[in-house]
Amino acid sequence: MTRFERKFLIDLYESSAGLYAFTFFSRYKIRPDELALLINKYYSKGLINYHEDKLLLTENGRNFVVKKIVSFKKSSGNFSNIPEEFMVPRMEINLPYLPNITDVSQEILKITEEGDLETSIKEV
Amino acid sequence: MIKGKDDYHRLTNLYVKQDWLLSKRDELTELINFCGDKESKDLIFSMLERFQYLKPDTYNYLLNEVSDYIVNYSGFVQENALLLSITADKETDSSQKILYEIRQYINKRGWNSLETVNFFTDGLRVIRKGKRQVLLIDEFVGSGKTLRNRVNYLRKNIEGDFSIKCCFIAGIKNEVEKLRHEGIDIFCAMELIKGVSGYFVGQELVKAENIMLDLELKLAQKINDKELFTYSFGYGSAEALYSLEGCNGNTPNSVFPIFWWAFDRNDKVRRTLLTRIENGL
Repeated sequence: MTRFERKFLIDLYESSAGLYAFTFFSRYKIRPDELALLINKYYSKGLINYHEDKLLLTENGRNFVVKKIVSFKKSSGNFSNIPEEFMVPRMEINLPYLPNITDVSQEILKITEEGDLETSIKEV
Repeated sequence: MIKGKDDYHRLTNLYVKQDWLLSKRDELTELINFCGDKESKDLIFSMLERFQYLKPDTYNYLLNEVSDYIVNYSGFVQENALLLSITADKETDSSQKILYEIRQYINKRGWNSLETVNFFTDGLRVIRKGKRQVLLIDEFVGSGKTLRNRVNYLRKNIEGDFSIKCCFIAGIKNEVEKLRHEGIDIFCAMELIKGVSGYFVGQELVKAENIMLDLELKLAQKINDKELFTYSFGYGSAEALYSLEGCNGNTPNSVFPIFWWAFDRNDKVRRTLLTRIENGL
């Protein structure tokens, strides 16, 4: 599921009366063929209804969003509940980054007795 | 191309209903732009919404229907029957495609030694040798001109008693009924109404016909030696909204040329929604 599909389903979840197809164009500039592809995909899975230009989640659709999307956001795992003060802007893919070794967890980076670095990256 | 909410919804609905258009976005855009005014666009949208672009599951269902008719309802027996393509020139055509593909379906129903011939005039020899129950097979019946010619040819050239039954995957309902009234026994698995005159009535019909004629005037009036006039509203004015392209087939010449005619009136190549493969086009 793409990030846009998650957005699409959450928008529908948050709108109990459903949304007009055009609303997605207004919000995200999605083309009609792209939206039709999503409509057909989720209609065939029984997750949405599409009638008179309006999209509405089915009961199954609402359950799906709760289980697969909303509940995931509320996970109690350490990595999904990082306190706000420790959050930094998300890095771009392939952006060069040099970590401060002293701040890196010993679980990730082990310093051997001889002082050599041993990382999880192995020579191949 | 999109001017406001209504346009957006209409286009989205079209893509939802006709998902084969999803892979032809540029061609659809060109066609809509080709229309120019709102009335022309409305007509094209209406026709596309009703278009029968067969997918493999529908095509298989129709092959099943035709084979069921042949084996269980035609009244013929395989020992006396001949399944004959109506192809009469060197160019391969959809009659041969259907003949080849339906054999499996007929075989599954227990007819495993039915004689088949894939060239029309070669069938005469087999009929004269004793196969007196002739099943003519083709994909689509539009104007019925080709079928009339074939049936008349057999009636003129075969002596003695024999029966002819004609089998089609799809066809234009009006024309099928005309052929039946003329005494031609015909089974057509999918009968379609005419795309304009079968759908609109009264003033709406006059308006739609005029719009389509105006659209056709924007096409090249001749390609090589083929006159658009011959194909106006589809060959023999069949007004078909149908294609087997989704199942490796061709688009019949019975389909409105606005969807497949390859050049516009300035002889510029069009990116068309459908492709008609025919020598000289």
